[in-house]
Amino acid sequence: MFELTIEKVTKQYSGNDYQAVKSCDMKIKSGDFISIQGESGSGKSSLLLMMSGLLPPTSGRVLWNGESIYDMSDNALSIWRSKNVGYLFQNVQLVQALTVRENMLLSRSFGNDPTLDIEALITLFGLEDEANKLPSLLSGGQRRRAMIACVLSRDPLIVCADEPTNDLDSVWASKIMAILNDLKKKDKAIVLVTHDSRWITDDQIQYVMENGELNQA
Amino acid sequence: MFNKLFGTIALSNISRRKQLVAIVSICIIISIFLFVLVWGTLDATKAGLKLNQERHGADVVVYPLESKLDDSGILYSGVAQSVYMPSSILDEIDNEYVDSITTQYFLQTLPGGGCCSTELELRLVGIDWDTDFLVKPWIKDKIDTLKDGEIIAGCNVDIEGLVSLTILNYPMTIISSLEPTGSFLDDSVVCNIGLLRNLAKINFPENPDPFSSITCAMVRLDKNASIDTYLDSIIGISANVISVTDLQIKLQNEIGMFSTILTLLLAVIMILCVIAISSQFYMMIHMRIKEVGYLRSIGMTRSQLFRMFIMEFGLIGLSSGFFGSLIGMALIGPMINWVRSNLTMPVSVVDIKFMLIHLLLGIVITLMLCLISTIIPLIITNRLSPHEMITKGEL
Repeated sequence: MFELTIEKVTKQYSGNDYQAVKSCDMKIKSGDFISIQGESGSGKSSLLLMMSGLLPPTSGRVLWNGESIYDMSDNALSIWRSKNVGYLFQNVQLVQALTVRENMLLSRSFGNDPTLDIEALITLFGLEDEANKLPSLLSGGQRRRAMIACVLSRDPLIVCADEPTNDLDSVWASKIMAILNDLKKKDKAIVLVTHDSRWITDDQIQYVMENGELNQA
Repeated sequence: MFNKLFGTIALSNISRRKQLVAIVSICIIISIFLFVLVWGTLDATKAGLKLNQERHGADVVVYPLESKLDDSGILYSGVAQSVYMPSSILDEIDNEYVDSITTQYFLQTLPGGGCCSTELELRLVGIDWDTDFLVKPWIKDKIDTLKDGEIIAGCNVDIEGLVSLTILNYPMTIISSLEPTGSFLDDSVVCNIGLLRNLAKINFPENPDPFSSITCAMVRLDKNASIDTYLDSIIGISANVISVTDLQIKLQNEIGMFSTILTLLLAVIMILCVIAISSQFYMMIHMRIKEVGYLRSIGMTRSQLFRMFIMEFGLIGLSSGFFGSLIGMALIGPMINWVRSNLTMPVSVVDIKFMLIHLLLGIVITLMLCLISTIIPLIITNRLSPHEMITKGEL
């Protein structure tokens, strides 16, 4: 069981005179599926990055089981990220020099379970024919699936998904949403950022973000 | 698994960025080649002088006024010259301060003259076996006497594999060789002075009577005698006089000065090289900044990132450094020969051990160079958060 608490977190990027995120509070517990909806530029991604330990807030705290993650040393924060947070970037991120399988192996080596079955994930994401290919040889949809497979190779406790269905056809988009939904059963937490209302369901804890302000729907 | 994947990433990135890798490699090759060449030559010169200080048995050398060579040329170069002085000079230089004196008579072979079975231009040094104290200690084998027709080769004389040869139409047998001495003897062939005088009479009739001439006299002073006092006692003799100790000190100072200048020059080259390589490495990291951000986001620590880049840049550095060291090694021999003949300085023998030490030194310097050049761009890069790295890469 874990708890990630976001306490009065704000973000103002240098060079900008407005706050991208304004004093947001949120609690994420194991088994939660949280969705954050909002227009482009409303601050959803910034909030997600801050709760993932990837972007230090201007003010406020992000607490992991009561401990402020941004007060950790850089080394400790890196290890915290590797074990606890799987971040699905809006734009696909993979190591271009490695094949899909190697990317997954690399990702797994940072994660919680070094024996996790990579081949099962390859099958789950329909990447059998692409596993030995470099990312540059894949289509947009295949790259997106490969990235999600890499994140799940680490078996993280929280999955932060920023528009995870981008580049995917409707069949794969539905499958990916189902896979993410299944993570709840394993006591993982999912934070979904999307502007597509198709993926919002009643069993989710729903938030709406507008001009940097976060409100529960 | 980690290291294997790091290795895969390193090799793949090296092969994908050939142009940048080539620029870095050229920088490293040039700087390491220069380092090995200059450092190796300096080391050989210093070792040669040290060897000479330890092994030159004479305190004073007396040689003809007509000699065209300067003091260090007489002592350290293998240049042969047919300049002689009368043996009667011995009466002028032998006094109460002297422990012993030995005389030498030099001749040179004429390459292509048909007189010898070797095409090498050899300097023949005739020694007086009974009085010699200069050559005997450095003969590798135990020899009781040096008969007519027997020769001993200096360590730099390239007659390896030969047992006998004809010199000035006289059959000679190589009976031994000399340990390195750091002096002219390294480049000479030693034989009996009586035989050499006979050969001079037959082959060089234009020379002064060889039986009443010598090329040089080596003087060893009594233990209690001071060199300055002895030199004062022979002022005005019709020959040049060298104080070996003074010459060695003078050379030591010259080598020290050379060494300082060259070390400073090398330091400047190395600093420029670090700047050039750092900027290239920075470009190589910056081109992948998005990927670095991704790796940081999945939990790679700064030290792991450093290890990954050190592996990649170390591969480039090691191969280029090894190549640069090899070129330096290949040119160190000709460079040392040039120093020996043009700067007339004592130079030690360059053997396999010397080569290996300098090859290793070149590789160690390369690794240090790559380490420093990697640290600088990584410190700059590591100031960014993973998110900043990813957004910078998306520009």
